Amino acid sequence: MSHVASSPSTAGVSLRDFDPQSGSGIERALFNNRLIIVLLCLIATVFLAYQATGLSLNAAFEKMIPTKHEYIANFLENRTELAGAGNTLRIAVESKKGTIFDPAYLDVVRQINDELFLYPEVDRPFMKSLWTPSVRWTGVTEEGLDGGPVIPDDYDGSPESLDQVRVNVERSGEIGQLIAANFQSSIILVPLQDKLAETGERIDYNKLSQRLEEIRAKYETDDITIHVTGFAKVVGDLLAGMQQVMLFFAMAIAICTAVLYWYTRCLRSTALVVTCSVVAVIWLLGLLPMLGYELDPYSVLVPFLVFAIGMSHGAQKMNGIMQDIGRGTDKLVAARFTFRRLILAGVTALLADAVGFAVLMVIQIQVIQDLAITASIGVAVLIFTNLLLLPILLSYTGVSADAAKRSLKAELAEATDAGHAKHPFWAFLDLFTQRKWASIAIAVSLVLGIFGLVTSFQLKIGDTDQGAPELRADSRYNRDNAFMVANYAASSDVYIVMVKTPQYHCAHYDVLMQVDALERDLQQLPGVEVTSSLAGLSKLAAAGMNEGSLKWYEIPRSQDMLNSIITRAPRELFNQNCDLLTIYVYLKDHKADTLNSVVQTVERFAQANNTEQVRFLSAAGNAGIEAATNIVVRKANTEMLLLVYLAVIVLAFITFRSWRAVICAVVPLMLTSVLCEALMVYLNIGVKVATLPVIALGVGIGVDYALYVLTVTQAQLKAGHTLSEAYYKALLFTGKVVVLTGITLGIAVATWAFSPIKFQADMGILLAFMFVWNMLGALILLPALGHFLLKQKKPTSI
Amino acid sequence: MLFSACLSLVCGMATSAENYKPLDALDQPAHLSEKAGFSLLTAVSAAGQRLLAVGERGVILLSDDHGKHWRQARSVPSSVALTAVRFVNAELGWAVGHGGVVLHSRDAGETWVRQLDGRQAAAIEQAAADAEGSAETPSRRQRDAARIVAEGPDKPFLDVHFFDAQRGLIVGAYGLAFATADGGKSWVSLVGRIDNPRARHLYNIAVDGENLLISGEQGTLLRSTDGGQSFTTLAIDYPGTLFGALLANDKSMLVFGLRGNAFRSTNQGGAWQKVDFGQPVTLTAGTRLRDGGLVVVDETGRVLLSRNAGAAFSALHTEKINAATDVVEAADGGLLVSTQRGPVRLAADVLRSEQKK
Repeated sequence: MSHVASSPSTAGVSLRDFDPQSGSGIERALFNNRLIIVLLCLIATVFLAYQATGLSLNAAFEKMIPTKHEYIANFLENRTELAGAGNTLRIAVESKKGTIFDPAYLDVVRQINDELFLYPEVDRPFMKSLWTPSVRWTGVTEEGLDGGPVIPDDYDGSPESLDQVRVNVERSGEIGQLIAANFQSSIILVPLQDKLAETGERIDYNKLSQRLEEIRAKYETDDITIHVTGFAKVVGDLLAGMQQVMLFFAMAIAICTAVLYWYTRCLRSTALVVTCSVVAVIWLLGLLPMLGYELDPYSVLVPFLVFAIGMSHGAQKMNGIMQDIGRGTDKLVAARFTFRRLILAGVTALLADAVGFAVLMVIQIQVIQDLAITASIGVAVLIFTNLLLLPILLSYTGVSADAAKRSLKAELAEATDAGHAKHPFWAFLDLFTQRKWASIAIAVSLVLGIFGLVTSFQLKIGDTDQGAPELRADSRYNRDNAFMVANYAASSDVYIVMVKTPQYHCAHYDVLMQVDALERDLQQLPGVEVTSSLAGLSKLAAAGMNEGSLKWYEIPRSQDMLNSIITRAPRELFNQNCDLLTIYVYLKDHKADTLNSVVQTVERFAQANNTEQVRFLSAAGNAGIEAATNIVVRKANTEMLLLVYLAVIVLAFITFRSWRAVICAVVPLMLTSVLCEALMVYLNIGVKVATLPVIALGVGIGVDYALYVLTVTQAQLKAGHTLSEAYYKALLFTGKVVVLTGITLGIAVATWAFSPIKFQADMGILLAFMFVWNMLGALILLPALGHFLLKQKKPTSI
Repeated sequence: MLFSACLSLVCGMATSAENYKPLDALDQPAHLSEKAGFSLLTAVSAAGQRLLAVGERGVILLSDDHGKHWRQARSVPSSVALTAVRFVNAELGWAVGHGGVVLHSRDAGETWVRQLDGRQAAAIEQAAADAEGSAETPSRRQRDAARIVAEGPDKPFLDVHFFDAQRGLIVGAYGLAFATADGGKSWVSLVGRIDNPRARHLYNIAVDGENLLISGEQGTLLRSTDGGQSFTTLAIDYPGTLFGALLANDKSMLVFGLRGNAFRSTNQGGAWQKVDFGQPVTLTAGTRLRDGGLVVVDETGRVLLSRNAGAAFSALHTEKINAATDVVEAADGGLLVSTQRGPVRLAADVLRSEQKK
């Protein structure tokens, strides 16, 4: 990496003295055909900008889950058979003033019901509400069972027919399911199809969500409130949230531009760097649809990273060119010299970033892999726009003369007067090369490290809050979800156990007894609210068939009786072939501890009871999927940390060829990683899909700082300078850019903290922390470690 | 050698999987459950000061503070649903349930042993039928008994009564009924003494000394005045199931059941008058208080009281109770109701809170 520091006599070279055929082949090919390159880039930008208009936002369900995990494989394999496990919207219509036994209320429910029924996404035969014929009451009479729709066919809104509705509701068995126990709300249950039956297209969740919002706007009054929950609504709200991300992107650009301008005080070059970084983002957004990718709520963050990385690398290019121009060099020559000096450093740094992203590919969750690929494409694009195009553009525009002079001030002062007053900030950082300050820095780091490590043992896997974890606790969705939890028995967190049996054995007495035994075990868990299965249903049905006498509440031993029960059992409890049973386990929440207890109970039971014929399989339902995701995330978290550090260590070793330097570079990163985990504990953020990439990205990008600082320091040490001198030089040369990079990256990601999407906010906060702490680590802990590890080389030649 | 050994091991595993049978709930001890207090309970009874409730999965709950706190019995040998429990004194009691199980406790309900199950009961009935009939042309009772044996233990007993530590009887589904004179060590079939040709379920035994009134499916009513030695059928003009009956202090009879239907007879079942319970909701069980009052509960959780030997009932003012399955008076004068979701205690003053139905 000596090329960074080897500043040959670049001062004051004019265009006349410069040999255009000098430099590497790439450099000649680029700089001797500047106009063509610029034109090509312009064409590419216009073309890709046009392509970018075809970029779609989406959040496909399968992409967010670890499809390779055994549990999810079980779920996907049996998916078509799991009628009740799918993608269902629950729409509660609440009467604020009266009860549901009110003609106006019932009429609103009917209108909403009819409107939803016409949605192409709806799996109509399974839709349920007060107004669907499938919602019935049953009663026992002396002659046998009697029943009918809850809203009688001759309903006319009169007080008499309302009384009839009330009686029917009370004997419908739907209280707590479709109708709240306080009779102030009722649910319209809307199962969705996987694909639109008419066209075979995927569901457009964004549009679906918008139409639901239109229903809400249309029917909500002072008396009526509408609450909507379900996966489709979560995704819809996520996509709506993503559109706000555009705003954050604009904010990030504005703030980063301001920081860069404050740093350079040169409008021209600032505009160029911003332009090039924006061009990189445009290329990225254009390439994605061409390569068949979409933006999802995770990968939407990549443009921020690409922009911020582009800004910092661009700033560095510009810094070099400015300094050369300040020395009187022609702008074209300055651009070429800078290109020559920094191309390798730039590519190495970008490669380090790419390694950070590439490590994410080990996580078997597609959104993360897509994020990794998207980010890698972005970094590849940056090599073109910010390492190649930017110097060429700068060679046309140059920089403002004042700014160029200003950029050299410190260096000039250093050169002319070794004993001058150093820049106070750099001088402060330089203190850490001395024994006293180095010892303090290391001691403080050690304390922080131990504190962080101890705290990080409390780090939870998975979600720590109730409701939809993707969204904020006070979001409309989560308030709606809280309403559902408060008013209805079945919670929104469902863990589904699948029981495979031989064909036509699903209602076998022995099988049902086992199902009942598992349910009994599960009901012991504090996190389990209630379970439901064919076993429980057959007990209830046995009582029903004996005139409602609860003395019969037991799984009938008579197979004939069981067979007659399943002919009337709801289809979500078993499949057509009668070789799959489903056990629904309704949980209090989906916290990691709750899920763990269920997973362990089911696993233990399966181990003791699975035979060739009857197998108990985890897991479907949102909680089952989350449990599998947690298992994958826990494993991936360890693997990924190991891999990213291995990669960074290898990369650092190749660069420095010194174990001591590698330690100086990597230990500050480790401290930041540990502290980041402690911060997660403090902020109550669990390790989940969204936070997995944070440490990989933080370390991958964070090692850049060390690369910049340490390469120069190492070169200066080799040249015979003391550590203090070498470090001070490195600070003057690249330290500013390290600070700039840390700040721009930190700001760009910190804007996400305002995202309505909770995990984006979590990622933003954690990444900002990682970027800024890594910067501090590279500037403070690195020289302190250097004091003990890096030796001044005896100059080989004077 | 080694190969064949492996092979036989594999074969052994395969056959064991083929013949795999989960343990029978009759033989599986009831699990001790954290949430037993929220179990579906079917019956409640007093044993001296102590209260006992039984229900699903072999749950037996005990309370020593008149129903304020409950704990689970230490050892119950079966985990089938239990349907009834009765104690003759503070120590000795019996519980019956599904699988034709009879459980007995000699320590106030702490631990239980099994005295009878459905297979043994079927065999007793078959032996009784065979003794009565002939080998050449099986009687109807013999054919029924053979079927009962073949069907296995799928018929629950639904009620139990013991007159003392030795003499008792049990009744159940499909008209099965047995009596013991040795505290449950041996049982004899009562099927031959009861006129129940269509094998109606027998749900309840109402008792007043040696007088018994067994009520059951589709208007079945059987009366005994000699402690269960003989039964006579009482006629009633009601085709629905009578889940319960009460014998009042004034010798009047009350029977009740499906959809709020209840009838009272003041002439030993010769004539019945309808009693109004206000709502068409099934009345599930009742009890006679020490002061002679009658209490009946229903499947919506209403608790109704009569102060005039069953001529008229009014609902007590209680908090909302789940579907009620049984009721008993606690030693402190409070009421204990078993429900679909655990036991509910009503303090004695609730009985003074009668309200208009």
